[in-house]
Amino acid sequence: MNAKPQSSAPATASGRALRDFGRAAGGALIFSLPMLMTMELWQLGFYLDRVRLLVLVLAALPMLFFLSRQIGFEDTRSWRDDVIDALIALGVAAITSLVLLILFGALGPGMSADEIIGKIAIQMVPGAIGALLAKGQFRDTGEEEAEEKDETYGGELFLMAVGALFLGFNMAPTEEMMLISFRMSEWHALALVGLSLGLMHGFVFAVGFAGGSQISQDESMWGAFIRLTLPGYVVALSMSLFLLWVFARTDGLSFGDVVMATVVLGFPSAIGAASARLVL
Amino acid sequence: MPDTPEERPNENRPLIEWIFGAASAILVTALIAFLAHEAMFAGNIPPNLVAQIVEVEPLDTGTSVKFALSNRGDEAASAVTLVLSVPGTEVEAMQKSIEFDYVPGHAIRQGAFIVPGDVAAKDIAIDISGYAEP
Repeated sequence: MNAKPQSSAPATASGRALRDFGRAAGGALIFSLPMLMTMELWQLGFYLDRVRLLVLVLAALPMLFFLSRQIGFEDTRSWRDDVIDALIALGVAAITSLVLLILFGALGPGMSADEIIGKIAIQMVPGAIGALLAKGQFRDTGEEEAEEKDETYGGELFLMAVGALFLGFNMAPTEEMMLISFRMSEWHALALVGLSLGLMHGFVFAVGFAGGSQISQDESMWGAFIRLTLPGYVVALSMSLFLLWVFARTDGLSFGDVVMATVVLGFPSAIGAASARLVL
Repeated sequence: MPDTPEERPNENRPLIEWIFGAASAILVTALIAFLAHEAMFAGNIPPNLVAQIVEVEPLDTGTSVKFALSNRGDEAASAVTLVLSVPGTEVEAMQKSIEFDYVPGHAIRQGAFIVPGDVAAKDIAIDISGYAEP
């Protein structure tokens, strides 16, 4: 006799809340773990200019809000729900970061409140992206079967920006980004621009895009290149420049060096942007 | 993601998508043109490092000697070591050193030495002991 599959969904409201928190914390952990174990990010937590840290957190709020709207499956979902989800994601990410940084010894007695808040604030952003995505990925089957909403061109570019931000966030604080840009010549940078665009276009074609702006069989390679790949690369470069500025990597650099560093960070960001459909 | 994409030939795309695409094409072309110009015509002067004292400020525990380290060359220098010397005056003769991980071309880095006692700017010398290629 075949047994009927049992639903694993907790019946009570508190059980559901606990399950949702667990999912969000799991997502935050997956997305922020590489950064939680990176020394440069601990150090940035106490020496990074507070204005830049504030800009990062303030920029994250609308991004998380729109991400919540983007990954939601229902058009009927209210704006208030998305605001609450974005704030909960930030809170879950903050708690996850706090616990792990204490476990790793990166937070401890004798540290000022400014240092502790700074270290957590930096880690909150990627963690919150993970928390939101985990909620979207693991939602109940019944919700998954709900009608998918049409995706817009702006929505696609937004997801590219989140993908670029996520992968760029992993690399931007490291010394290696700057070191690579110093070791490279402009010829290397030109080749890297070509490789970034080529790989992005490969991903765009391989992965495709759902909804209104998906690449159809009728669309020429150049059409998709101009509509999606080039704007995607500009989005990736913009995110890279923003992250380099936030992490004070552009300070004291000449214009040419800023361009070089942006192109270097633009490589992982471009991969993140193009593969946003896979990663996110 | 649906498996059966909607057929949408190029001409049916909204104009805004082509406008974004064209603007992006201009920006990427400008980036490539800039890099190509730098690759062909930019100089490759090796690191030319200069250290200057910016401010000497008394502290409770000694004196802070703030300095600016500039690289007037085109190429970046790494492992740049600065050595501060104070010949024996009111305090004992001493040497202190600071290492910068790297100093990019045409960039300025700042730092400070902390020396014990009361030291005047005229008694201080800051030398660059050397650098390595990144």
